[in-house]
Amino acid sequence: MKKKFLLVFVLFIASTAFAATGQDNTQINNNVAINQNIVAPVSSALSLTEKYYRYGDVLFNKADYTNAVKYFYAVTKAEPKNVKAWKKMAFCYYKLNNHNYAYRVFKIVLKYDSKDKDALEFMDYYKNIIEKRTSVKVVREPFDSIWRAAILPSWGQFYNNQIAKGFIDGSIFIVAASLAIYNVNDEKTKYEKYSRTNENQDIAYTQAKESWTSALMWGIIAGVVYAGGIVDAGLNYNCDEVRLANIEIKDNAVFVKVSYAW
Amino acid sequence: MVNIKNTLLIIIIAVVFSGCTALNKTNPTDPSGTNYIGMHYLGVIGEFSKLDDFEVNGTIIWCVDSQNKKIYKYDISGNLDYTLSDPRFVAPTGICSNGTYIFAADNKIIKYNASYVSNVAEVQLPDYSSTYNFIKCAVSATYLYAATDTTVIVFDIAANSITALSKGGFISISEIKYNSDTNDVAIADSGTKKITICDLNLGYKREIAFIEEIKGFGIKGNNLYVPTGTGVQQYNYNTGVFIKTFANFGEGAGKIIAPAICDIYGDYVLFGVGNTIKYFGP
Repeated sequence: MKKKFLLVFVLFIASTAFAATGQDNTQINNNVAINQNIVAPVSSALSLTEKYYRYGDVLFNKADYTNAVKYFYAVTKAEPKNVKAWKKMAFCYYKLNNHNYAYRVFKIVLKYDSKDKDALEFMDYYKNIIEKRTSVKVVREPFDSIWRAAILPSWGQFYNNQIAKGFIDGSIFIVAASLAIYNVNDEKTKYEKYSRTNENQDIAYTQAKESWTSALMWGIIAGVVYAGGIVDAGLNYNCDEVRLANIEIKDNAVFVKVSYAW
Repeated sequence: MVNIKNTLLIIIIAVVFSGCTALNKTNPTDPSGTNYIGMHYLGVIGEFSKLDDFEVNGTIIWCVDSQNKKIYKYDISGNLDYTLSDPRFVAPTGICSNGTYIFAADNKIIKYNASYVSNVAEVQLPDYSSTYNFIKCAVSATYLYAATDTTVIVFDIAANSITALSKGGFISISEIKYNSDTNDVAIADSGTKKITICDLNLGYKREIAFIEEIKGFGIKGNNLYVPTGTGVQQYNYNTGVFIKTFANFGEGAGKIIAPAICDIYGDYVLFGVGNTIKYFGP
């Protein structure tokens, strides 16, 4: 589970980074300051968009995908319905391992040509990846939650992503345990006083007994909360909240989805 | 997994209940305790400037305060009935009563009618014009025993006269008591640290020696109670054998830490300590 979270998080961060890179590319392409020296000469009879496409193609063949994508983007800027340019750009992103952008660009390709074989294949490919990711079952054992709850009350609930329950459980335990400790000390003090007094023994003993009863009551509450927390953590080790703590691809973006629920 | 769960459950139960031990009543002065040694503190009676002597007679406690120069009458519940001042008092330090009369030991022995003491129907023992520095006194049905530091002088109550009986040889008499159970007169000498037991004519019968100073004592049947600096020591009155010590435990008012005057009411033992009377019971 941890690995999955880490993977998704890295993917999300990487996507964001590449998105930023894409914006930079956009800015560069908007200026369309093409360095003619870095590409092979092309026929001057071609239109500018065709030249750009050719340049991009040359760079693509040289595996310079970073620069190639700039030319293809310039083409699509001038001719938004140029499916070939969109597709090449998608291939570039794919080669650059920027799958988030590749996925989005292939969707644009299908928007203009819903039967494009390459785009369809890639979409299938990405859909398979998404399905696999979302269908991967988190392998959790009850003991993972139990031992955490046993070591530190409410840790098991936090581990199970039952945050609210964890806070409530932990708070009750801390209060009850604190009062139990206070009353134990109070009882010891009062019992010591009873043991040493030679007058009003009944009063001194009653006071010690009251503190003892309070200590026992709060101790039982703390114990029940503690034991209940362990049992609860064991029972809910694979609850919905745990499973919902996952990634989701929605609206062309990757999300880390974590549900804070009871 | 089941074994782990069971182990955890056992650990949790052990942790929760490990500190749950019952409170035992182990205080030796607690009558409901398992190791109660007998005689526990019940409270105080009266408030004085300097309580020099008191005597329980029936349910009445007669007290004398040498500083205030007053006689106090309390009931056994601790309620003050009245106080008596007498201009003849110099520094009264002893008091005794036979139910009919009360006697105050001062530089003279002054007799009062116990029933009408509020009316000051007082009679000084008439035929002894000399003054003595009487310290304590005790009374039987027929005799009044008045003690100075070193001598006990016997008066005939009915005749209001001094008798030929007396007993000297003491160093510093601190208390004298008549024991109606055995018809004895017991005289405590703090100088010799002994209690001498005599017959009604002050004939020597026996004595009990102590290692601590004796300021007062109480007699009830075969029990002799002697307050000391380390609690109250209980002896067999007839044999002088030590039985036990009580009122020496713990912290609080229920502790006797100095020699004190003492008297008995039923199963209760009372001790005069400075400005009040401490009350102990079984």
